[in-house]
Amino acid sequence: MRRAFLAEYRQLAGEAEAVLSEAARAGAAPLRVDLKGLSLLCHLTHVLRDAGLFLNFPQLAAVARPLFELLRPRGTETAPPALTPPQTQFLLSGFQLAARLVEGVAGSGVEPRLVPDLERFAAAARDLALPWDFPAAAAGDAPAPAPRSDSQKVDDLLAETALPAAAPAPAAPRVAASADMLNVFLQDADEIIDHAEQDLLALDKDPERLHDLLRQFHTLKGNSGLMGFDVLQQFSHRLESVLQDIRDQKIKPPPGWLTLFLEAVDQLRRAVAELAKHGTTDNLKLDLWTAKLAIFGGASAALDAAPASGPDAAPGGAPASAPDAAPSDAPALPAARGGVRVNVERLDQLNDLAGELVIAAAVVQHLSAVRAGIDPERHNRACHQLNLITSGVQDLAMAIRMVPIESAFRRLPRLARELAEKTGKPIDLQLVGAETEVDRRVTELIADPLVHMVRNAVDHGLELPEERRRRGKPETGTIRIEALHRSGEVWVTVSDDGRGLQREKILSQARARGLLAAGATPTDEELLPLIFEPGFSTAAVVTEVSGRGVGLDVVKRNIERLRGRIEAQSTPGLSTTLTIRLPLTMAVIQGMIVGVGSEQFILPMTGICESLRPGANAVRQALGAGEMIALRGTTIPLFRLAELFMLPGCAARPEDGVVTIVEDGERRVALLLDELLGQQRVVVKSLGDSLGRLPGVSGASILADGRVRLILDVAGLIRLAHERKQRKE
Amino acid sequence: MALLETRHDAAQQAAKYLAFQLAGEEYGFPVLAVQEIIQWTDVTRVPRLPAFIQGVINLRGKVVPVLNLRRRFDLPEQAETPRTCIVVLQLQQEHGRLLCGVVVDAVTEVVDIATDRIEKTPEFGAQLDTAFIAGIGQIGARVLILLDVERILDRHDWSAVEQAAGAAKEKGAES
Repeated sequence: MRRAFLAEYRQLAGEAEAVLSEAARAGAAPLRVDLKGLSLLCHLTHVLRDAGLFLNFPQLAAVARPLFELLRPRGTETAPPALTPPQTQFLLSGFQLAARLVEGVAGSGVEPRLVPDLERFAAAARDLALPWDFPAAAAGDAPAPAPRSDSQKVDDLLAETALPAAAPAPAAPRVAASADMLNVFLQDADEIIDHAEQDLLALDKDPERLHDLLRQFHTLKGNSGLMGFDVLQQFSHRLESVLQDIRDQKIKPPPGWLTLFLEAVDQLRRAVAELAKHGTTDNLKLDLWTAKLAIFGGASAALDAAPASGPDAAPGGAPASAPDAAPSDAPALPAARGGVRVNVERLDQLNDLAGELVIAAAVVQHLSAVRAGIDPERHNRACHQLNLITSGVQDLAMAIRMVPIESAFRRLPRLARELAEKTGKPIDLQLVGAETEVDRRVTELIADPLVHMVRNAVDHGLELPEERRRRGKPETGTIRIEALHRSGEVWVTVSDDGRGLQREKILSQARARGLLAAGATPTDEELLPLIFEPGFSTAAVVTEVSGRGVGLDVVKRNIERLRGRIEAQSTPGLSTTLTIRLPLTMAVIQGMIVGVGSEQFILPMTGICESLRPGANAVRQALGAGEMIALRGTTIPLFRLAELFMLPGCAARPEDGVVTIVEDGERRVALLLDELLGQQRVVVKSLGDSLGRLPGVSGASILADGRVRLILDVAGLIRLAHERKQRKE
Repeated sequence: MALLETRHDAAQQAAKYLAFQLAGEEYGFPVLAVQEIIQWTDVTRVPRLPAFIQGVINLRGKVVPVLNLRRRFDLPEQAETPRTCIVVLQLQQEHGRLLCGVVVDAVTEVVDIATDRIEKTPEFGAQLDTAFIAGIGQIGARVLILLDVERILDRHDWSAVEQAAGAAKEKGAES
């Protein structure tokens, strides 16, 4: 929980930096923070206060409270009030204090004691007539408060900060919801919220989505009502009302309303997560958000209607008291979809066991076949049946782990939108191949690097609209993210049509850092990877824009943790493409089992172009060194796998073996093998940390005989082959 | 009297070791480092690795590398016998648990060795690399060579050898 808080704090604080530095510049002038900035700061104080209360950091809670009071939206004010210089000063010192406390928490897990600062802050709060509540600080001593009194304080504080217009109604659930119902509700709620978010993001381009969006909130309202989750019900009701007013053009949405709604959706998501954890809505604090919605002046009708069901709805009150939700159109709870959330570790175990089952069954069959007294006919039939079942179990176990990469893409449209707003660079984000199936773990681990990469592309790749116009490019920059299966790997590319990587700057920085010899003239292939070196600041090198771009070395480290690679390509002035290549850990590939000498290997089908049995004279030797094979007018270099791998006992003459043409991107080579043994789906397993990356081998799989077979890495083989060739020459 | 007590205390402090045979000598791994012992099974060769890495096996769905200790210690090779075993060692590392099998001629038993019966590795002179040996344990007349698991499973060592061995082999194959 602490980690979640720190992550959230860092993100928000990062975003709030701009607002605060503007505040710092305001000096003696009154400070007018725009709606967006205000809601951001408000959100930040809210997060700080929650952390202070629930994670037991009393100083943090004390600091957050007056800040919150200062910032909180007030009733129906449409324009946020300007802050006086003392207020601005107070605001800045408050956030500074909070930052120091949080840093302490991040470092040691306990908040540092900042009593003198706190006292100064408290005095300032009193001067501004803001609430201050930290008795321990007055005594100059901050003993850890007993948890009991702390939770009491939580209630008090919640009660105090709750706006009169939206007092929370912690009513007991009207229906004693069963655990099953709750599960179904939670699952639906997750889907609805995701859906609503997608709708919101698409609203710019497709205003029709508003209707769908309305339906989502309506459904959520109905479901929450049925479950007796009043707070959620009211909140979604309000969201729905505002949207209705917007649809009916009763109100003109203020600028930035989409962002506010997106934040509201986040809030909903958090609320549902809380609900999942505790099973009640008692702790949900959506009141602040309800208040925020007050900026939609026209929606005040909804605000007026709501309290009627708030404080008045006594525990056990009839659902009919829910505002304006006509019983007739309350949607029924959707039927159970039967989904379950499963721990990934259990899935791993299931996979391993399923694999074992297949193998054990094969062994039993083999042993029982030789026993006398068994009718071979019946034995065969039984075995066949058993095989069907075991392989069915195995297939299913594998399939369960595979999910579309889509979930790793989900955060990106939102991010692009925010970045576009922040940087003033219009962005067209294209997501391709979201349906590409990858192991679940990949989607979890790749999401963060993708966020970094998109951020980088916007910060350092895309130019500002005027500059783009000057260069004859469309003003809207394109960022394209594509996932695909390639050569038995998952490739995820992030490309932008911005200014490209600037070779000269990389070169000079690389020289300055001693990464390159002074006289060296590296090729792009040698030079570009340097941008992933630690300390190779993209801000300084790639462009002169100093953003808070995340170093690409961090991205690289994350990718390497997935045992993947990342490569950069760039056309100066036109584009940059970063390609992540990930091994398909645990993924399933279609593989060709090939025999070489006494060994067997698996060749991923995606890398195979064709296989042929060479004629007696098809293979030629150039200058007694490199072998090649003529194929329909072109010649392709031929390599003997047995030689690459130094395996004993295999065909000496090409005509006794099989030639398989493999390709990786542009490059094609012919591999000489002994035989093709058949095609099958195999589960890719890693060779384990201990063996690390081996040239020409991407992983291993366990086949039905229980033996491990290595999976060949076509790209690696081609590299290996070329290295050998060079050495020979 | 005081002397007796001290001796008694030291004798109480005993560690458990898995004793096994390798080329006629008896060796030991600390029991805590041993995950399990499995019978000899087919080992899949992995190309371009040093010879002492025999290959990989399927351990209930996991791919686990297997070291050949005879090759590691430059002892004469021997074909598998019905008593040949693979001792699966586990080592806690920063990224998680490292599993690795080692091939031994036969596993004998788990023994307690009093800490005061373990001697430091004697100096054998320059011709013998004693880095793998953690100490020499004695139980009565028996002598156990206690091995340093961490050192044996040290991957850095493998890849260094890997390149050397790879290059040497390649040279051999081409000449």
